[in-house]
Amino acid sequence: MSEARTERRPRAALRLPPFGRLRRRIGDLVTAYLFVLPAAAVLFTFQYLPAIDIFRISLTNRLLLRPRWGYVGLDNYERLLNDGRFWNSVWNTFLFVVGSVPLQIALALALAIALAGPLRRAGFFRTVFFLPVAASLVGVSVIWEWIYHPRLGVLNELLGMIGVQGPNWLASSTWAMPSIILLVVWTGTGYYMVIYLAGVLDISKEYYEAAVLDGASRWQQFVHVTWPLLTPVTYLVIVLQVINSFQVFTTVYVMTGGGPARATEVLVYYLYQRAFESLEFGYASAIAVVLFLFLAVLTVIIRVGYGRTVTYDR
Amino acid sequence: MTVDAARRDWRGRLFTLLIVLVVSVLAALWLFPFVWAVVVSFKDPSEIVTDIWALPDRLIWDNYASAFDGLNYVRSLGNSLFVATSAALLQCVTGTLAAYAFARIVFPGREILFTLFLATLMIPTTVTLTANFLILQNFGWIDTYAALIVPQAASGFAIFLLRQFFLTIPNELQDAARMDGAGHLRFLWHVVVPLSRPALTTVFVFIFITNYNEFLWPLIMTSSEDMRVIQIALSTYTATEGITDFGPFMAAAVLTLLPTVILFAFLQRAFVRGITRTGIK
Amino acid sequence: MTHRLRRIAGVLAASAALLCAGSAAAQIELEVWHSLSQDFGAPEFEAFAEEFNAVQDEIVVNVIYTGGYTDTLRRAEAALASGNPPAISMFEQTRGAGFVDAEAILPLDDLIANDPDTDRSDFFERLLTTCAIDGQLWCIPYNTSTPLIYYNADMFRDAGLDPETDVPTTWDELMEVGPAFAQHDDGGSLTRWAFGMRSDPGWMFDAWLGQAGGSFLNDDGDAFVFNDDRALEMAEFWLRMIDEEVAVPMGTSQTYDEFFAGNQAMVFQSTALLVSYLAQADFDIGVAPLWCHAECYAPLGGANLYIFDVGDDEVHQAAWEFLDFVTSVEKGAEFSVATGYHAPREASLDTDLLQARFAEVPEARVTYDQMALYGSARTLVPFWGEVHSLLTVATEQILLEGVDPQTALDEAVDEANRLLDVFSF
Repeated sequence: MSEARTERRPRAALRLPPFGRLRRRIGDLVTAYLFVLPAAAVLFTFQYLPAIDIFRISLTNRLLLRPRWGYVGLDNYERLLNDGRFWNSVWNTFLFVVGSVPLQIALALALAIALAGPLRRAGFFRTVFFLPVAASLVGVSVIWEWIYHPRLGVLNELLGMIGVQGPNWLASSTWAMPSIILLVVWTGTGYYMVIYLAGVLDISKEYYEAAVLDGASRWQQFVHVTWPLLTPVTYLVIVLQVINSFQVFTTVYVMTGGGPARATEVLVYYLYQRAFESLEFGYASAIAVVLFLFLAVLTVIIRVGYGRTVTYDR
Repeated sequence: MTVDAARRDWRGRLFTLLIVLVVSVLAALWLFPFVWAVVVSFKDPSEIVTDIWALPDRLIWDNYASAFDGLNYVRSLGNSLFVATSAALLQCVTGTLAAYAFARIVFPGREILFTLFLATLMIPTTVTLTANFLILQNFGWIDTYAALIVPQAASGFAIFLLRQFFLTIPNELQDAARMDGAGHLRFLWHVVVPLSRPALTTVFVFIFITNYNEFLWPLIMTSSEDMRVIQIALSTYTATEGITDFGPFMAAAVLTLLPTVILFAFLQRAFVRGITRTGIK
Repeated sequence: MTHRLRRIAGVLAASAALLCAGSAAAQIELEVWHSLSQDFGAPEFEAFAEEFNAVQDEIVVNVIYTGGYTDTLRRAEAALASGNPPAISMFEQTRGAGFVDAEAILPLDDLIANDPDTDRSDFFERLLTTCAIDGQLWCIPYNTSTPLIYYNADMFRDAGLDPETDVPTTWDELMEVGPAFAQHDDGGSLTRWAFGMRSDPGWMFDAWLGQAGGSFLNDDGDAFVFNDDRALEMAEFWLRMIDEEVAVPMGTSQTYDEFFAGNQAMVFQSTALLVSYLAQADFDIGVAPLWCHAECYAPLGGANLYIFDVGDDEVHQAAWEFLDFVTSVEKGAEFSVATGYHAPREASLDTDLLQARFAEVPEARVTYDQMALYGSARTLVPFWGEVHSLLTVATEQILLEGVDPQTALDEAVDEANRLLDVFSF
């Protein structure tokens, strides 16, 4: 992705007789392929093969346990078009992405700038914000379930102190999604903060010195130096976030089970329900294909949208 | 001029103070769930209900005893550690071999293969679940360790990260080794691997933590209690009874989070390096 | 010399072969999966298996606790997917149909017919209906139950009612006595009420629907109809209960919490929890059969035992012998006394063991009477798990989200019918 094209080609420095060189090249070839083989076998079997296979399975009426099945053409896709629950899950995923991505980006960037500047030496803060990234989502979801508990939870206790009667967060179809978004912001921000932090620290001091000489305020420095120079990082962060956000599952599974009344049933959760609850492998694979295409198209759109403004000058 | 500078200095300090204040408050919010989970895990059930803010009167270990049983902790933690360690080690091996070939050997098909390997990062695991289930079913691996480990035995991430590192090793070393008559394997083992310890640590820590925390894959690919990894054990445990039993639940969450948090505390740099070097999770 | 050696070797080989053959014939190993936890019959079931292993030496039964109903279901799906199912497994009432649909289960009609000591009619007829699909018998009823009304007699007296006569037996009676329980705090919110209405109703949806005279599937079994007038009457009744402060909608576990906290006079719960509820309540607790409306109706819950079709008649026969053993008149009675579940065979009722039990705890009999009169099998379709979640969503929408009942039920029925279509090849 952000791969630096700086590889050095091994020089054919040694003068070997032509025959020896050929033997070495064959030897190299064999060695190289042998070295690549184990990884290739795993990646092919568990990444490429299934990625292709979902297209095939999506054309069948396969039910996991039933031995007999057949090809049904595009029936599953036709069904998708009229499946209200599918579109509900698309909408919920959209809400989740719109709710969580900008918030995380803003917070991650602000923290990165703060930690790169005034708090550069306070490694403690970096650790704190980053800690949830290393923690398991199931674990933190269990903790947050308690924070959100209507009677015994800290959140409503705090709200009670300022005289507000808090809702039953996870059991309310209005508040369940925001609750999940808040948790995800808490768990995910540190990850993007670290990426931004590397980007911010990469920016040469000279730019700021020049800006200060021009009398630029802090805000102007941010708008004219930091933000433009971080464009490639922002592109990366957005792509990663969108891809990750579209796949949100664990928090939903643990905290709400897609409820109440499907208010938090996101795409991957719906896919899971279809594949592993009602065991409709054919239909679930069609959902997977659509998800795959969504992600591919989104990545391209973001790339194109950003491609024009990406500055590699740094 | 001096007055101006002094004023700017004064404002700068105030600004810095403000930032420190805001970041500190945020950090407290970020830490709070962890700290509070630990506190509650030591509270008596009645204390949890009556006074939310009170610290425990005395440390109650009962919650941990319940959680220990409820999680089947020894078994589920053992499963998780075994799976995560195996996957991380295997990725170090397959990643090193492949990355070496891509970084240090010129061979036909190299660019295409590398692109194909890298492109696997664009295939989300959630998308391939159904097909992967059927593949593992064909292998007869459903509900076995193999289902948890083998598919995680290689990744574009590890190969990419290690290759980036291997590219920085000076050619002179390789040439010298070749003069000494050392083949690729010997050069790799005696020179590249020792030099790449930081990169290998990064791969290991990253893959270990990712696999330890993985939930959806083991949820689907395993079903028996013997195969249960700790994430599944925690979600099953906290989902069974009514959800007011927060003492044991928080204890269970703490027990689950502990290994990666400890690992992270020691190897934070390696983990962060994994993210910043590649921007890939 | 060599001749003699050869003869000795020959004898040795022959005896070894005999030994192997002998042990192979003597030992059929059966894996039996169950979902009975420690407090719900696991010790008894395991003891039965040990006894079975001791009284004969052809079959060795290996009993494995495979977690709760859902865990066992998932594990059996995985085992089937990888081609090693157990010999016998326990499945929750609504979940066995999926395995029948997968052609993984052995029909038991022939095994029973060929067994000289056991007759179909030995079993409670209503319990057998839980195993009947397409005219064949696919399981043996085992730990079955019905839901009961558990009531707080003290609260009845507090409200000026007589727990002997005023526990409602019909929907109308519920609406008559219900308002007497309502109490409010200064802010006007309800602090005491008659009944906890589950917003995730589970099998109680079956109960309400059946009482209204409705059903999930039409008579031909080719369409879901739980959006007809009967179902609507049910949903309207729910809303009326809430409107008139007879019931408060809430999650299942909360209905139990509120009951034991003394805020709520009545709650639905399985008879399997009878013993623990009687012990747990610090008030005068009683049980009653479910109330009726257009009909009396009690869904049959719990689980049954299935034999997997592994293509080996000997294994199948051995598995049947174990099932016959654990469901025997004596074992059934013993199991029922220990757990509160029904014994599978009618004759168990006449055993001294169960008679003594009924004398000591008369409440233990309520479920038997209810089951024999109007216990009804659940809907046996392979995709019930999905329908179950549709019902939860529809009920949540009706009770909590203010969605119009017709809309909510129509949506669920449409989806259920689509599934029926998906599974109809």
